[in-house]
Amino acid sequence: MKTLVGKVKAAFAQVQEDLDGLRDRIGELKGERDRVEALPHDIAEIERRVDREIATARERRSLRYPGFFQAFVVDLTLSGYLKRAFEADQLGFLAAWDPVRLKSVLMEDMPLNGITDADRATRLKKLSDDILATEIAEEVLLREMEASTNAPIFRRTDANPAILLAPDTELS
Amino acid sequence: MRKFSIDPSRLSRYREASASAYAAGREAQQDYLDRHHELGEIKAKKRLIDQGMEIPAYDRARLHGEADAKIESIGTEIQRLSEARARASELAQHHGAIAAAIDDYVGDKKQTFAHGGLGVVAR
Repeated sequence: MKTLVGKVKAAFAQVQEDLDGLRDRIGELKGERDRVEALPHDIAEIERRVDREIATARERRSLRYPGFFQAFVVDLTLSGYLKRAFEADQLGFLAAWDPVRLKSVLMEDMPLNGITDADRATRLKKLSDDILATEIAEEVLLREMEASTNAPIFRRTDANPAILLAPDTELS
Repeated sequence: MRKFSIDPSRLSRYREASASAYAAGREAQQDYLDRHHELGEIKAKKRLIDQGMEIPAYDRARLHGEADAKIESIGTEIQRLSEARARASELAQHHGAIAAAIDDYVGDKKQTFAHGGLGVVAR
């Protein structure tokens, strides 16, 4: 009798260990998914964004002083015009002044550990598949435990509802 | 993303678990409040005993002692009920969170059906 109780206890301990292992794995995978989601864009994409921003700013032509080309008298000196242009649109001013230097300064502090959108999508897809497979394994184990003990077992509050509601046949 | 059907027995299981945990939480809260109310009444009665001029001194001491014993016993019970209430509340929150996620999911599925379906089946 004592041996039997010991065997049952050992079996339960093993199942509990398996369950803990699956839950730890789900936590790790979700953590990795969050990390990948938060990774910055790759440097090429960052450069494209910087170029786009500077090009848009340059289109505003902040240094185009009318006093140089208009036939009628302009009531603003070049100095006053530059002061007003800078106050109104610093980025436009700097982009018109020296776009290459502006780009270089903006790029100086950009992260280098970024990934491309395609790479991110691939990694997230793989992680989602792994999470789904692990959550299914967890639910199958829980249902087996419930069937053998005839007692309900708590699910994680962040468990995937689709899996919780799925019929047994779709989880095998 | 892989699609799953909905097993209605599982749907009702989670909804019932949530409803029953919520009811148990309400009951635990009510028990706790009832005992608190009772304690308040006994304390008020004790004050009346202390102030009651027509009660003989020996009777007053006896009634006072009885009230104190009741206060102590209800105090212990309130402590127990407070712990039970905390457990029930935790349980209700746990089941409530799962039921809410399930309701969201089932609601989304209904939306999906309304827009022509994406291969999901609600049985």
